[in-house]
This record gives sequence, structure tokens and C-alpha cells, in this order.
Amino acid sequence: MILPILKPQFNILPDGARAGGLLPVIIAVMMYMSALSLFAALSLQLGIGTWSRNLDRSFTIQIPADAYDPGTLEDEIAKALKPLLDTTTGVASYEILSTADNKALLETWLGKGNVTDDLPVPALIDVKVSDGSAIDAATLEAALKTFKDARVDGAGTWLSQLRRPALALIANAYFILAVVLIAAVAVVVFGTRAQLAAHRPTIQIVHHMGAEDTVIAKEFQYSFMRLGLIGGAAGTVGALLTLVVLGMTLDGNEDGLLSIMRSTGWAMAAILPLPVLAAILTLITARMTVFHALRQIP
Amino acid sequence: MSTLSANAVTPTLESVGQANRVRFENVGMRYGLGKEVLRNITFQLEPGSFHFLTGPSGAGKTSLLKLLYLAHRPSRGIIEIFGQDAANMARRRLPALRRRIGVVFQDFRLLDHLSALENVALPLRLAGGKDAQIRDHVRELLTWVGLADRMDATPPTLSGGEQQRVAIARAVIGRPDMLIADEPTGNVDPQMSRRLLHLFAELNKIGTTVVIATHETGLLERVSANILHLEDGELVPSPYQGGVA
Ligand SMILES: Nc1ncnc2c1ncn2[C@@H]1O[C@H](COP(=O)(O)OP(=O)(O)O)[C@@H](O)[C@H]1O
Ligand SMILES: [Mg+2]
Repeated sequence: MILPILKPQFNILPDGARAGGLLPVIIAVMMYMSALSLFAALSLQLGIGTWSRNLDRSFTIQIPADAYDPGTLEDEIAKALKPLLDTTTGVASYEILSTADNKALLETWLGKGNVTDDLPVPALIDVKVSDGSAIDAATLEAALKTFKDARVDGAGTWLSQLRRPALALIANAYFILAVVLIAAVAVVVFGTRAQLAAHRPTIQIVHHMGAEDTVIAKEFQYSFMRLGLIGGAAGTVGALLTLVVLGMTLDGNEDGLLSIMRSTGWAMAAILPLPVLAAILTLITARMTVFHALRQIP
Repeated sequence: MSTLSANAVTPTLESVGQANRVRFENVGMRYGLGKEVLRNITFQLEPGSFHFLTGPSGAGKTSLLKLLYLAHRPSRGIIEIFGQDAANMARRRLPALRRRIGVVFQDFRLLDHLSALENVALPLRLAGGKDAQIRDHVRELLTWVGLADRMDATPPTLSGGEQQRVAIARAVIGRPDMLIADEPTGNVDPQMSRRLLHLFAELNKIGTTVVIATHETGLLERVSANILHLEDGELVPSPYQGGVA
């Protein structure tokens, strides 16, 4: 026991008769699942926040392959597009992607060696928007419409395509967390009831001797609290190990959702208090279960 | 009959305060949905009085005691324990009332994993006593009931008579306001039975109300006491009363 006051005061139950058996294992497994789903939810939430903040501040200007001549594009941009961009409020900077950059981008989709020189590749210009600017893709496109069918892709378009599954994943993760916690509560109720049933005559005796409900509950709740703490710690350590191993398997080049989940120091930190929460949850659950059972005794 | 026992049993009705009074009025009791095993029970126990509860097996003695030690609620009637309405009392107020009552169960109901000493100490500890004082006190009492060398034994290793003495010691250790004993001398020899009765009488002298259920009429001759006699769930005039008081 952690503190002397947490010891059962009256030894109403025999030693070793308190919560035990497979219960700690079940609690550990449930806390492992809780930790992972909490981590998934939090990391996605944190990730999608930073990520969309960054993406909101950039646009891509696309100039169709048939609308320009690769040889003269840079000149034309310098002459016509530069002044347009310079005078558009909210544009902080821009960068014309080189043909090599462009090809590299395409190769991730089409595969190395499949991007031949005769492939019509649109010219791409990365535009960074200054902080706090309200400019959006449509405004920018309107401002640039005199320049060679320039099309502006707001990051928002594909972000929103990604945001939806991400939000669904977050909701799912929280749902799983809730379900697992409910199951954990049910397991503790079950375990407490089993203990109560096994020691029913003893509990009746001390109840009729005038033991307060809180006194009897204390004989149970701390052993379950300890279970929650130990199970929670085991589950959390297991989850952290899983995440570390997962982090090492990913080689750092993933994009999209996985890349979000990698930026997760905070989410990892957030699951650390889980054993304490588990301990509190099991304590309260056991206590309430005992109270409920005692109300059935006249 | 509902009227006779109050008159027959409590001669000093007005002479004592109401604070520790125990009173039953038209009480009925049933187990679950069964028929009433107690009917029209009316009596009054004055503080510091001594009572035998007699009657044949199955008459309802144990059931009546359960009402007295607040282990069962009546199906009807008024139960006043120490001047408080026990039948309708809020649950949270019952434990404090129960701690003022010592009970010797017919089947002892000791905690098998605790030593004799710890069993007897339990009521004092539930009442918030200090461990050191409790130990001395408990040793003294266990010595008095002849269990000086069995204090550290657990109930399963004690004989029936020894267990019974532990149960009695547990019931009296806290000097309860009311002592209830269900057939407390059933498992001991006549000499020990006299000794235990003497213990109850001593407790009674310092103000404890005593109620002892028994079907052994032999006991009745030794102590001057009031008699509540049960027949088939009702209090009836005692066939022994004339010879005692
Ligand atoms: N737990 C119980 N459930 C149902 N009926 C009971 C229970 N205990 C006692 N009875 C019944 O109540 C009646 C009185 O029993 P009891 O109070 O034990 O009598 P006594 O103690 O005088 O022998 C008997 O008919 C008995 O069968
Ligand atoms: Mg009986």
C-alpha cells in the first residue's frame, strides 16, 4: 500500500481475499487500449491543428502545361505575375518550383523514371500568405486571372478532404476510449460484486455491528484502486512502448495522417496521468458498488 | 395479545426517562412475501431491565431479536429503540444506533480469519477506540471468560463453547446500552452457563438492558427477570412468570 491511511483499517476481509486473480490483467489490457485510443485522438487533434494552421497560410498557383513555354516562363512571371503578386495584399512570399522539384513531386505518385520530359507538367508557384491575412484561393485567383489561365489551389480544398477523415478518426478514438472505460468500470463492478458475494456473511456481521458504509467500503476500494494504478501503469507503459516501436518503424517520410501522428510529444505526455485516472476510476467504482450492495442489506 | 405484556413486564414505566427506552407497538414481521411470523407484538423495555424471551422453537424468538438489533424492518407497527423511531429511521443513522447494541448470535458469527482477541476488539475499533487500550481491555475480558490461553486462536480452531464465549465477550466488550443474546448458553456446561449469566447480570447492573432468548427454563430460576413469552408469533402470558418475579 502506498500510504498507511490507505490500508484497510479493520481487516474485515481475510488477506488475499481482496481483488486479485485475472482482474489486474484485464484492467491492464483495458488501460493499454485506453492509452492508445487517447493517444490517437489527442495526437490527431494536436496534429490537425498545427497542420491546418500551416496549410491555411499557403496556396499553390498552377499554370497548365499547354499555357506556357517552359523556356520563357520565368521571364513572363518576372514581367507580368510578379507585379500582380506584389500588389496583392496578404501575399508574403512566393517561389516558383523548379522543373526538378516538380518532377520529384510527380515521381512520388507516378514512380521513378515514369516522369519523362514530354509529360505535360503544370508550372507550380508556392505562395505564402502573411500572418493574419484573410485572403483565400478565390480572391487570389481573381487577382491573377489575367495571367495565363492561372489556377489557384487553396490548401483548404485538400485539407478539408483530409480533415474529414481525420475528424472521423478522432471521434472514433474517443468513442473507443469511452467504450473501453465503460467496460473497465463494468469489470470493476463485477469484481467488487464477486468479492462482496464471497464475503457476504462477514459483511453482514460487521454491518449489523454498526460499521458505517464508508468503513466497509474502505476495506474494498483501496485494493481496487491499487489494481487500477498497477493495471493503468502497465497499460500505459505498454502503450508507450508500442508507440516508440511504431515511431521507429516509420522512417520519417510518411505524409498525411501518419505524419500528423508523429508530432506527438504532447499526446504522449497526456497519457502519462492515465494510471492515476484509472486508480481514481476503480476506487470510485468499487466504493459505489459497495454502497449499493450495502443498501440491499436491511 | 397485544396489551398484556407491557403491563406484565414493565413495572417501573414512569420511573425512568424515555431516552434509552425500547418500545414495540403492534409490530408485525414477515420474511419476504411470506406470512407474518410475528403479529401484534407490543412491549416495552425500560433502561437497565433484564428480560428473558422464551417460547418453543419456531415461535419467533430469533425473529423478534432481529427486529431489536435492527437487522430486519417490521412489516407494520412502531419500533422505538433508545427513544428513536427505528422503523422509519434514515439509513445513515442506523449504524450509530447499532453500535449501542451488543449481540450474541445463536450461531456466533465470528470472523474466522481474525483471532479471538481481534474478534472481541472489533466493536471497540468500530467505535473508534485506541489500539493499546483496546488490547488490555480485551485481554482482561477474555481472561475473565476463561480464554486467557486461547486469545490468539482463530474461531475454527476453538471448540463450540469457546467460540460462544468469544461471541459473548465481543457483545459485551463495548458496554452496550442493550445486550441481546440468542440461546447464549446452549453450548456450555452448567458451570460456565452460570458464569455467563453472571456476566450478563453484572453488565445489567451498570445499566445495560439485557434480553436473552432461551428455551431452557432452567435458566429462569437463577436470575430475577421479566419474561416475554412467545407462542407461534404472538406474545402470551408467561407460564413461568409466577415462579420468578
Ligand atoms: N430467514 C427466514 N426466512 C423465512 N422464514 C424464516 C426465516 N427465519 C425464520 N423463519 C421462520 O420464522 C418463524 C420463526 O422462526 P424463529 O424466529 O427462528 O423462531 P425461534 O427463534 O423461536 O426458534 C419460523 O416459522 C421460521 O421457519
Ligand atoms: Mg432461534
